[in-house]
Amino acid sequence: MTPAFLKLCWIEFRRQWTTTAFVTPLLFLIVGSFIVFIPSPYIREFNVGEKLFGLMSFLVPVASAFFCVGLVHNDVKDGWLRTLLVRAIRREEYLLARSLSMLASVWATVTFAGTLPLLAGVIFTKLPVNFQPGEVLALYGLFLGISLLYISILSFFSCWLPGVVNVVALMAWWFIATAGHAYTTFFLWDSPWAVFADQFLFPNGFFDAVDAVRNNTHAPYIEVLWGTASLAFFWSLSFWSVNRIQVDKGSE
Amino acid sequence: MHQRQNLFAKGAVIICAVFFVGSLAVDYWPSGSSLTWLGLDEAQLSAGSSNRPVFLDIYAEWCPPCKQMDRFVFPDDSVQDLLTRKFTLAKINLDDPVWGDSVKKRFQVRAIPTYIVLSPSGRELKRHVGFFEKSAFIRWLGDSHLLILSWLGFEKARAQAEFLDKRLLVLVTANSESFEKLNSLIDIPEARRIIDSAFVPTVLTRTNKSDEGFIAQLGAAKTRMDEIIVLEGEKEIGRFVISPDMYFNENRFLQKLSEVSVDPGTLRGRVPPRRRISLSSSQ
Repeated sequence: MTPAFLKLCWIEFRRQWTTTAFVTPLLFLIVGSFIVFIPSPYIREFNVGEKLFGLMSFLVPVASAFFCVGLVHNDVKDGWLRTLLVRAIRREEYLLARSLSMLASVWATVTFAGTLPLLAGVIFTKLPVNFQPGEVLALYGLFLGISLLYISILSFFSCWLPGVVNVVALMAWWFIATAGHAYTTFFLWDSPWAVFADQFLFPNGFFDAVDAVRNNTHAPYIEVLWGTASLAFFWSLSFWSVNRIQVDKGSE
Repeated sequence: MHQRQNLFAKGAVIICAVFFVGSLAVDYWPSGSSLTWLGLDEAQLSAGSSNRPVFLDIYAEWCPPCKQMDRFVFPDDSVQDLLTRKFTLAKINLDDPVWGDSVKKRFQVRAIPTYIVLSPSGRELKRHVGFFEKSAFIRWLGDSHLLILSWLGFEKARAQAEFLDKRLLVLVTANSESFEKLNSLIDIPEARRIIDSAFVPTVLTRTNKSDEGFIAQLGAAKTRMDEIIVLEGEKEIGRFVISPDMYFNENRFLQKLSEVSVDPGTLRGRVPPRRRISLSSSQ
C-alpha cells in the first residue's frame, strides 16, 4: 500500500460519486426503510438479524450493480485507464484500486440506506428487539464477501463487454445458474460432477454461509472456505483480463 | 513486463488454489462421529433380533449436505445417544458398486442425503431428504419411538392373528407423519389394554408402495383420513374413521374400539359384519 496507490484509491472513490450517485442512495434509503418498517400482524419481535438479511439481500447486489456498470470498459473508452498507465500505474493496481473504491462506495450506500433505517428501527420499534451481535457481525462479514464477489465478477465481465452489458451478463448468468441448479437437483442429483459444477456455476459459498448463520445450523467455515476460493478465482480472472484488454484502441 | 503485470493474477490463482484444496480437504476430512454403522443386510438382521427400528442413512462422499450432517449433527452427544439407544444404524454409500443401485431402486431414492426409518420387519416408516438442523433431527428421531413402530408388518400380523386366534386390527394412515398424533390415542392405557387383549395390530400407510395393494383390497376410504379396519380371518368385523374430534374426546375412540373388539353377537345390529375380504399374500 504505497501513498500513490492510496491516492489512486481516493481518486477512484471521488470519481464514483457523481450527482446521480448521490441521488441513488436516497432511493435505496426509501426501499431500505420500507424493508425495516414493513408492518405485519405476524411479527412478534424486531429481529435485527432477519431485518439485516432482508436489507443486505436487496442492497448489496443492487448497489454493486449500480456502481459497477461499465467498471473497466468505460475507463478504457474515455481514456482514463490510458492516462493512468502513462503515469506508470500498473493495470492490476488500477483494477485493485478501482474495485476497492467500488467496495467502499457500495458499503457507504449499504450503511446509509440499510444500517441507518435498521438503527432507527431498533430505537423506535415498540416490539421487543431480538439482537444477537454474533449473528449480525457474521452477516456483515459474509455480505462483505458477497459484495466483493459481485464486484470481481462484474469487473471480469466489464473487461470484455461494453457498458451496462456486464450487469446484464451477471443477471443472465444468475438465471442460467438457477435453472441449472433446478435441473441438477431434479435430474442429475446422483452425478458428482453435475453437483460439483452446479456449486461453481454461480459461486454460492458465502450464500450458503449466510443460510447457515441465519438458521443457526452450524459454524459455516467450510462454506466460507469455498466462498473465498471462488472469490480468489474470479479475482484472478479479472486481473488476468485487465492485463489482456486493448487499451489504446479500446476494447470494442 | 508481462510477468510483473500478472503478479496479482498469479497471487489470486495461488490463493484460489490454496482455499480450493483446503475446502476439499476439510470437506473430505472424516467426521468425529463414533457411531457404528452397519450394512443394510446386517442392520436388518440385527434389528429383527433386537426388535429395534433401523435408521438408514443413504449418502455419497461428494454430497455436501451429507458431509454437513456427518460433521455437525451425528457427532452431537444427544444425537449419538438417541441413535445408539433406539436404533440399529445402517449407512449406504450411493456410489457403492454392490449396494448403491439396488438401494436406490428399492427405496426410490431421488436425492441425497435420504434418511429412512425402517421397522424391525423392514417396512419403511418415515423418511427425510436433505440436511437436518440438529434439534429438528432429534425431534424427527424422537417421533420414531412410537407404539405403532413396534407393530408387526401386515402379513406377519395376519399370520400371528390366525395363530393366536385374535382379530387383526389394521390402522390405515395417510402417511407416517400422522404416527405421532395417532400414538396419542393408541397409547391411552385403556386403548392399549383393549388392543393387547383382543387384537394383533398392524399399520398400512398410503404413501408406502408395498401397502397400496393391501389398502385397495381392504377397501379403505380413498380419503386421507386415518381409518381402523378389524378383520377376523378374512371376515371384516368392523371399521371406523378416526375423526378429528376423537383427539379431543378420547372416549369416542375407546367406544369405537370396544365395539370392534367384542364378539359381534354381543353387539348384534351395531357392528354387523360387512363383507368377506380376499387377501392375497403376494403383493
